[in-house]
Amino acid sequence: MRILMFGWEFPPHISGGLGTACFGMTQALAQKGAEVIFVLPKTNNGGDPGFLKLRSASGTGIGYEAAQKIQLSGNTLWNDSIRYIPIMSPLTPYLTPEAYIKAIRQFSSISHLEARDSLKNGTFTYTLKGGYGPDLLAEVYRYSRLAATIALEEDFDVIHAHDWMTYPAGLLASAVTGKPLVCHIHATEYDRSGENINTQVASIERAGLLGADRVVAVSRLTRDVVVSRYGVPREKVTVVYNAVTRPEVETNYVIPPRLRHEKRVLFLGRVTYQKGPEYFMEAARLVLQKMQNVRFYMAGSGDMLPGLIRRASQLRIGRRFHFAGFLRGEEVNRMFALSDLYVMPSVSEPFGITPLEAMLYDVPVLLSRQSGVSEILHHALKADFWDTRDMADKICAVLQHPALSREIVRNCREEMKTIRWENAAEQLLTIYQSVLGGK
Amino acid sequence: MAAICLAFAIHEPYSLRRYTVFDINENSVYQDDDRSCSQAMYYAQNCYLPMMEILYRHIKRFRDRFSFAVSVSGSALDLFEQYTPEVIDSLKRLAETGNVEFVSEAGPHTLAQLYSTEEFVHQVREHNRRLRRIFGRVATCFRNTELLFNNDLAHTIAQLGFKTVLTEGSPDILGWRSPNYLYNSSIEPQLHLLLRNPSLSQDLSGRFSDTTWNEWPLTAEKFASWCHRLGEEAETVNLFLDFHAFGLRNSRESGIFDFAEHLPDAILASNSLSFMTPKQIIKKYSPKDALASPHSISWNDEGCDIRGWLGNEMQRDAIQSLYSLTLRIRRIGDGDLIHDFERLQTSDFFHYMSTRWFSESQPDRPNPFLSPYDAYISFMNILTDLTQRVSVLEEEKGRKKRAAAKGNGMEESNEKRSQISAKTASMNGSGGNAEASVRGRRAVRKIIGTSSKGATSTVKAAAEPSAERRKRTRVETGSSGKKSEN
Repeated sequence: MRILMFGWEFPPHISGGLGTACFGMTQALAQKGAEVIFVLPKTNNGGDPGFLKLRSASGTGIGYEAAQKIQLSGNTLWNDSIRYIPIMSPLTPYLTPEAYIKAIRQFSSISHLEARDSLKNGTFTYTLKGGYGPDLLAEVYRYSRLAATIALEEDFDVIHAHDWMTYPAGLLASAVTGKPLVCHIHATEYDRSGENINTQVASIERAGLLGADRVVAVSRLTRDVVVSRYGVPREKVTVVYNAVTRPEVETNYVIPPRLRHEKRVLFLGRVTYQKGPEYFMEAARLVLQKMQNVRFYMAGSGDMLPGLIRRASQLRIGRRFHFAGFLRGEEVNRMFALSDLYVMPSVSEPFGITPLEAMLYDVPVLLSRQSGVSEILHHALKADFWDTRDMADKICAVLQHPALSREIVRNCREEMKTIRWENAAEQLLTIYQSVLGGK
Repeated sequence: MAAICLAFAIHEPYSLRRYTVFDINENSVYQDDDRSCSQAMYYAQNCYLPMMEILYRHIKRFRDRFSFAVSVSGSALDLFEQYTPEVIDSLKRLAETGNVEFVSEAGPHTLAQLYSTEEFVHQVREHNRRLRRIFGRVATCFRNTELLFNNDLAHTIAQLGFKTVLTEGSPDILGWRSPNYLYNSSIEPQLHLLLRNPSLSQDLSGRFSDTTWNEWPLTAEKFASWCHRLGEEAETVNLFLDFHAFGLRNSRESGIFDFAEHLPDAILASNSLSFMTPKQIIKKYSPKDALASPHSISWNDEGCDIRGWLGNEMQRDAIQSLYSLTLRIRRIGDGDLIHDFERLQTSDFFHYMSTRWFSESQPDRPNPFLSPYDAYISFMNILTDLTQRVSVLEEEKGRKKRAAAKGNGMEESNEKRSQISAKTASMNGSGGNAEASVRGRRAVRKIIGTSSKGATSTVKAAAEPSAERRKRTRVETGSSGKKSEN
């Protein structure tokens, strides 16, 4: 089985959970004997893990023939189903005058949608930056062309696209090659933005999910969103839970003697609305009313960070509430290992891999009930994200009663044995088989 | 001719509230009275009243040919008295027929036997007294909470004067033997053991409404035929059932009441079987063999052990923390405190913390908490509050003693104490617990009484120990003086 996979992130080109999930998934698929061609917008040198073929879309030459084919099916697709009107404007709601000036300046540096670099013999290409820059929609458009060209070059059975950035590419590639398309949804626009959605993104998402032969959702929660918001038929959506890769080398982190008399509670994630960091801070305030020897750590960055730093000082909890900034690799592991409790108070979390990572270090976790991962973790503590008193009560309990945290860890360790990428890969292969049979 | 021994267990726990760390020291309302009330009403309507009516009609119709045993836990009695007194009336009416044997247990449905013999004995004695007061019957038969049994229990129970113990027909103590005979305890030979027939009892409570069971639907005639077949070689078929089997675990629609309606007819159709209570059985039969149970057994569906209540670390932590307060609480002797302490011992609260039956708790005994961890967290918060109340009262008592020893400052400390108990009384009242608030008021009245007139008498009473203490200190100083001379 050969799979052409479109993704926006892959370690080390990574920004969030999407890349981690793609890595674990493809590794397990490769172990099951599947060949994966993974197309990223742009690869830097190195970082090829060896178990799959990593291709960079940026700089792929689009020949005359390919351009014709893509033009034919691409325009109808882009115009009919996605209805993306490429009016290039920096206008977004709620911009302050200062921010608008900044946006205009940034905008003028953005190249035009069709800005192409010509190569010899009439072939041409686009240059992609990757990541999530301000001209993301234009990048998505160009990526779809390049990815479709790669699809024409490669030999494969199924197309598998991860999240909305690659759905146009998936649709286009499926149209030009006639191969079945599986769209994987890791997060919906409604998770990222609440009710204030970006309609362009939502329309691309809808088009991809409706156009796919099969949709894979990361949790029942996400499946329900997809079904109710986009009208995707329920029987077309399969839930495949994410898993977590165990680190090959187990490092033992020793708690420094100076910290031993204290307890540490960790929040790790983007400091944005979706992750509910302000609820974590409120819970911390409540806990500090009842307990003294606790420290709270908020690791990550995001648009809410400055406001929260101000809030911490207003609440006069700054001495016990620390902002660790954005952590990478080794630092993340160390942070997990030294924590006594990991809290994920997400307002909306389609899946949420970080609690699984915390559990690898035998750290008990407290999850928001509004997260996909809580569907498979029966032995984690759970609270509604808005119920900060309940959250604070549970934090106090874990820190005060060693029996509780030991029992949670013991049962979670048992549960983790069944949460494996191998199982997810097994399910994915079944899905591939079924879409192939249907064609 | 073999005996059918029907023994019903009636138990209802009070519901605990989701008590958070923010409630500690703020209030001592541990119970969710609304939930307890609505549950009691629902159970009375759908289970207790209709089934007791059927049993009453059977007794009226068959007279001496129909009899059974029943145990009622203290917390169930409390609940009925508080919310559904008609169930108590119904039980009294059954008791008046004389065909019902009341079985005693550890009052608040506790596992005290495993942790504190004094506490356990106290609870059993209290419950005996209560049964006699309400139903006018003296219990000679005992069943422990969850049919728990071990050698220590046999010893304690025999000393308390009981003749029979009901327990589980567990292979652990039976070995190759059959549960369908009368046995006695190997360490207390005069104590008889009646063992539950697990499969027949389970047929009625667990499997009756299971449509995938190959014997479904179970009719009274079919069940009676199994009993008859068994009766040909057995002496006694012991059906020990949770009363919830009638109307709750098996709903009215499953036909359980029709089954109950027709069972005596079917059993008594031939003369080979008759209904008997434990008291009648030990008169008629003699023990076949002596059984020993070094480990605790129970009627837990899987394994007949106590892991459902004390299987994980949270459960053991909670129960050990609770019983570590026993001595201190009994020494203080404060009514409200003892009341709450006994309530918290109800075995159900530990079962809620079980992580073994995560997804499948019995629908008729639902876990009021969302997870075992929530149950543990609430319980430990309650325990923290209780411990602090104990410390406060101990301090009060100590201060009072010192004050009495000095012989002055009486008024002040009395005033403080009455203030505190007035506070707790009002808290109980706000929780809607009528009984507790009445007791609180009484306590306040008592304290007010002593503070107005009894100041001198308390001083007199306290004078003696203080004199003793002075003597002792003198002796001590004398001896130390001697030492220094040497």
